[in-house]
Amino acid sequence: MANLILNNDNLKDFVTNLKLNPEQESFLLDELPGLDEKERSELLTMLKDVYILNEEKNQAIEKIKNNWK
Amino acid sequence: MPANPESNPISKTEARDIEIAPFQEQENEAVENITEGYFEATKIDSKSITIVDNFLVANTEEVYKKFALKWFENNEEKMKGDGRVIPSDASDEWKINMVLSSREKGGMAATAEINNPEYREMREEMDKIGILRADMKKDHVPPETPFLLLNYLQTGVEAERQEIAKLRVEGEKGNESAAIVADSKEKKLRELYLVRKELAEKTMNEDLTQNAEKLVEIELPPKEVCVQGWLAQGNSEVEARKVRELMDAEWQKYMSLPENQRIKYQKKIEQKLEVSRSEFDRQTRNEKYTPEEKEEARGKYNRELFYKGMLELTEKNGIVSDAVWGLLEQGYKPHEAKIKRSWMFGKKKIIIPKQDGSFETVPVKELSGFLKSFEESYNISIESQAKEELEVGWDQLHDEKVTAQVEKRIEGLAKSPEMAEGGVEKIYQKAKEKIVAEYIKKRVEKNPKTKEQLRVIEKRFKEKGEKRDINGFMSDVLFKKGRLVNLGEELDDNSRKEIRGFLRDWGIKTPVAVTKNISKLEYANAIKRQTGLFGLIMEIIEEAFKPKAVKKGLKRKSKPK
Repeated sequence: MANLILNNDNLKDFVTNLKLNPEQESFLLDELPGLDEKERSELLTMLKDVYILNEEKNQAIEKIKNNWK
Repeated sequence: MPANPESNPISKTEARDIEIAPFQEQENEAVENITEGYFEATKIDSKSITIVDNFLVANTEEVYKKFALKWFENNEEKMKGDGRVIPSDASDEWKINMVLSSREKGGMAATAEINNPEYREMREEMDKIGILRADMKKDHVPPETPFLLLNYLQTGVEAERQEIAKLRVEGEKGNESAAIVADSKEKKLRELYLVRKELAEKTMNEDLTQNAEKLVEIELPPKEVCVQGWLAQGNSEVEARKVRELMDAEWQKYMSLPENQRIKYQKKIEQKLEVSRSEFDRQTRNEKYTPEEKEEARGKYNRELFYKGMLELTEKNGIVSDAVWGLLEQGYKPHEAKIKRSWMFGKKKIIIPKQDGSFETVPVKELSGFLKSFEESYNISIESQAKEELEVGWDQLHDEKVTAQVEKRIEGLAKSPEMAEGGVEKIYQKAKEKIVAEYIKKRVEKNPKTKEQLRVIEKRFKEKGEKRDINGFMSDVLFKKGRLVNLGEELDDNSRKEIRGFLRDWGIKTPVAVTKNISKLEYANAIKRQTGLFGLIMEIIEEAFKPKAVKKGLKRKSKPK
């Protein structure tokens, strides 16, 4: 049974909400429909890393706000 | 996985635990450090870490001292009530020691009470310092840390500068230890300046010195022009100092003689060079001197009398002005010169003794010519010394102005949370781009033809001694700002320079006269192919690498050195 997380809509939402460089976002979205499940899984792994970076960035900015003199 | 991860954030742990596919094992341990390798820009030099850490440790001690004094103030009455003896004139140092030292040593061991609400401000300060120290020592310094450090250090630096100014005033009043402490603090500030500069340069990705020099060029004329303009003033300053040095040297020699020899010397040269104590007493009988002041005043008086006497002696022999200093500078004693008449023809000649015991005999008629060479060499030596000093002065002024500009830039960054947040955004954005670029490169490499092209390019990078790796370069070309046709319009100066330089070296003209223009349609088509725009660029670069005879359209330049 196909993993629902890996369907076009979910991955597209994930890509578009990560605030990527427009060229990169465009590349990822363009090739998304042609990816098989294994490739989608690889894409999601990469997107997770970017997502974690986004989270870290938010925490970093929060840290600046809290510790700025 | 939420549909909108930005608006509905999940924790890092949750993100790591998402099940991706039943056939793929997740390498969770790799995720822990996945982001750390992307922040090269925030690596801090180990020497700098030590300098900053020492500064922070010193600040920690200051916070503890502040806490101790506050604690003492809050608990003084209670301690007295408990029978503790507190001297009425207890110094701050005594109080601090008493509050912080252990009970075994007779102290109150109150350090832990810094956690009480009334000392919250100090506790928070300690926390800030603690976070900075811990983050700074991590293998991968968090991107926000350099910004926070700059901000924290700025306050400390300003406080130190004020402290140094106070100490300097004390030093000028004769407090030697204050002057020594000020020197030591200044040295530390200088070290800290270099660290702050390093942090600011890394976070802003700019060469602060180079940019400051450009600004200084506007307000400070070039060295040669300045030195020429200052020369007249410089000459007179150097000359005044030189004359004083030459005269002082003669004075020291004269004063090193025993008193009876000095009296004898005065008689021999028939010139009064000093007054005795009793004579000075008579002259100054109405002055109210202490014995020390009187001796000092007599010393000054005699010194001036000696100088006056020396010049009167040289003048008697027709040796004046710069010739006197020129002769003294070259080891002559013009004040001891004597005019004698030749026994044979009655011609006058002047005998000028030298410091080494020899002497020069010059016919009086030729004296003027003889002295001229000494005047000239003296003036040349003055001018060359003045020039040298003025050049050093210009260098110092230039350095001061550059440092002031750099400081201004650092201060601007250190006081702007907006710049810090923007800087952190930029660093993370770059890291994100790098992750995606690596992913795309892997996808592209799956095409064997493109993989071979990449290998060729990588080889070219190595041959050319490129310090950057190909991933970074390709990422800049392909994904950082967009299409080849737009190079030169959208990229920042450095990226444009690097990319254009590289491409130009290999015969690819960019951006205005790019041989291979990419139309919108071509771009759209390329991006739809699996190799996408990357493949298109590969084709262009490969074309550039082809041997001359085979190539069409693109002329390859000679191999760059």
